[in-house]
Amino acid sequence: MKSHPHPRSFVLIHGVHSALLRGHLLSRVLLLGVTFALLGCADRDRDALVVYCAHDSLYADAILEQFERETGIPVDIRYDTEATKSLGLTEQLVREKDNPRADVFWNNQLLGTADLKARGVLQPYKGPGYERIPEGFKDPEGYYAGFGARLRVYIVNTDAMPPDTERVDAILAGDDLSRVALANPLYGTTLTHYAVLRDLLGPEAFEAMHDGMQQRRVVQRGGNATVKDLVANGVCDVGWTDTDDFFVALDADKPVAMLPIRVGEQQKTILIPNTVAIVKGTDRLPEAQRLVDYLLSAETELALANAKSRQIPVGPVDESNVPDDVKQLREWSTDAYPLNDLVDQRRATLDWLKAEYLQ
Amino acid sequence: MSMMEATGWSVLHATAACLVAVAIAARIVVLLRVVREREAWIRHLAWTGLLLPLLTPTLVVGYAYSGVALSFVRQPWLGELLYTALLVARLTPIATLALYFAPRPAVSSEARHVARLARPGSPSLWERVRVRGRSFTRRVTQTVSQPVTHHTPPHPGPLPEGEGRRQPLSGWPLWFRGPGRGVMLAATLVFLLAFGDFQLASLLGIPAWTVWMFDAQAGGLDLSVSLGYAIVPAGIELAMLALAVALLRGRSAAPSQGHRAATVSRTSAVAMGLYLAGSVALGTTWPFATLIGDGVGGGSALDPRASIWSEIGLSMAYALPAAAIAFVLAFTLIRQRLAPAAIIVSVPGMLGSLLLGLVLVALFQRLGPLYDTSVPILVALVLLTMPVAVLVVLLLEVTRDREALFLAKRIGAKGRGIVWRMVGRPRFWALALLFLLAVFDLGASALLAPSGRTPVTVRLYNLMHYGQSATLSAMVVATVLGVVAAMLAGRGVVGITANLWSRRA
Repeated sequence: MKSHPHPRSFVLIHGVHSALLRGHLLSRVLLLGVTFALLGCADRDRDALVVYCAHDSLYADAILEQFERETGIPVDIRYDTEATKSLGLTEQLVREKDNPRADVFWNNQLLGTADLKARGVLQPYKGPGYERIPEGFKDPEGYYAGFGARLRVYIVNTDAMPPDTERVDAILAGDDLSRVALANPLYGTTLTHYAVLRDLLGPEAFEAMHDGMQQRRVVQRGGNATVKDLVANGVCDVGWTDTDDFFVALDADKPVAMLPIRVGEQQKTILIPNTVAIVKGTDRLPEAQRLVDYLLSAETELALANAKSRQIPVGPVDESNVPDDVKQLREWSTDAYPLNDLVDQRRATLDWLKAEYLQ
Repeated sequence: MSMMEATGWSVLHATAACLVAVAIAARIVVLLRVVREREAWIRHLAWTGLLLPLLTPTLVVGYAYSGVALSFVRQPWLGELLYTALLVARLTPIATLALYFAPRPAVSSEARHVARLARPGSPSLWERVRVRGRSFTRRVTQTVSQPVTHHTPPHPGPLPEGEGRRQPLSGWPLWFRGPGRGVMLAATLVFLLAFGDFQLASLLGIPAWTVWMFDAQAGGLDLSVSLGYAIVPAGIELAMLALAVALLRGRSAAPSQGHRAATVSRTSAVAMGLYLAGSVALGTTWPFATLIGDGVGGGSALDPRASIWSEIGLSMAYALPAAAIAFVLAFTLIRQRLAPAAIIVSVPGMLGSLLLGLVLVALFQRLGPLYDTSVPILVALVLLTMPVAVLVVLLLEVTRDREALFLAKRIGAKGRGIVWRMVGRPRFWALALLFLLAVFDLGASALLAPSGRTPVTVRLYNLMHYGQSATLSAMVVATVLGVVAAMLAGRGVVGITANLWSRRA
């Protein structure tokens, strides 16, 4: 029989097909082993700065891409899930303490980062970025510093009720909370919110408050974005959330308004900044320091303020570049509850919540 | 909610889904056997209607219904109903396939009918029936180690000495020797898949052990503690797996395609047609309509330089080698007649993406250098697709017409086109199915993806917790279209190559 030349692509496909499906068992096993080895070797860029980022990827991506463009330092990012915001990465950093993968941790809140300091996961750095951040938003020893903050707010469905503090207080004091929503308190800023409440009320009263809300059928689902959806879609009338989630609903033309959540006799607001820290044991220290300074710069704070999340600058910035929405938030945030000393409260709150939820 | 409560909910969901799905599948199988004799377009319509909900990515379905589920927050039973209906729509195809390709039962329906009639007064008739069945089973056992042939005729053989003196089987044992084994196998598969569901439950906010475990793990529960909690669900899954293996061990040699011509009443055919239309509407049309409706406005927001494109490419880069490796491994094990090995490598995948991911995290953290590379996620995807790979390769082997293939090969170059249609094309689509499963994995991918190399499903899943938006819908549509386009492109390249190969003959 006369043989015919085959197209190259066929020869390739036929060759692979024959090798894979017709070869000896040993040759197939070897081929599979080589494939895995090649895939393992052709892995990620080992020179890249590894950033664990608990901030929403919607907003963090742009900042980190800008950093890459400006400095030429490649960045590999690992994000957390929204539902388990920040706690997942915090715990992962603890697990990896003896063999760290991350170089920089960009947390979307403060207490988790402070807890990492206490567990010996971080290393200090006081650069120019650190210097511009006010005392109340940074660790005195330089282990972390805050920037671009959010406020805890009530999100109110304006079709269901007027955005009025007395009205909200009356609903929360009532017997039926089935139209009030809050996120799972094990995670994210709701955990910080709970730690503040525990600090104010004491353990017994705090636990009674939580149990009381449960008994009055408060709706507890997912993260703060879920709370936003529940209220914005009229399933619930009021909920606890963060300013960035509120603005997502507002920008989508949902019938929502916000009121600052105030706690204690002094009616303090709860202001939760992003934080950035260098992971102890990094072998890319200069690059990590550059990223920390970049994130703590006025430019980054302004970029976050002008993003859809409308984050509140905590350091000095050019006021003319701050959007009006954020100016209002800055006024509310001047009398914020101090968070730096709540590390132990957060841990105690988390232990209690884990016993309640994770059994 | 405690882990035990969440596990209880999962058992309830899986049981409900498995009962309903198997009951529906039993009717659909009859319909499919009837349409086998009808025009090609009717056959294609029926099979497409059956398989579409199964092939629609869970992430798409969960996202499309997440808003609806949220509105049921004060009527949780409606959420449960929606979730169970979606599980049924997605898993009925699995039950149907299991029943359709189930081995021919040792005792036919006619035999069971005759046995029922004969039981009170005429045991000798039943004995003949039963012995026929036993004899057939014996033949099957002998032929399991032989090459499987599609046309093996069920010959009863001579009646063994003294067989007729035993008490005849009745009730459940008789049913089990009849269609029962296939039904049990289908139910076991559906239960396993429903019990291991994570994506749908998570996006719809339904209590399930997988969601509890994922949140607990992400929330900082120590890995060893997490794995300790997983003992109960893993035990349930392993028990169901053991049952499935036991049922498979008693299989017969030939698939049930050779059943006599089936009949179905007009009412039943209409009802099943309506069910298929309804399940496609629920499991495919509505989710995609929602996504496309939302995504039209968000499409313009998709920057060509956005990271979503590289993440789609990365997902495919993980999925393609994983699917290929799983296929080759399954092919090798089946061809080498290493059935125990095929079952062993399929077990981890049957435990579900999440549990497998947790175990591999523990393993690779100990292995050090390979942790935070692409190897763990690749291993996970290979293991996850292995059960389907084994099943698909078995089906390819069983349904292959060996005589026709032999003849096609004998006529040399002129038979290449036939060989391609008989062997190449089915293998391509088998690989495509595995690719589809791997590319839309979430649980293991979320736990095992290396830093900076996040698959697109993990990113989409994270974004989905912010609620529905035009941009996110556009991203999901882009992902699905990207994957489908890659599959069609692959099909085009392979098809053109095969055509050239055939024409040069």
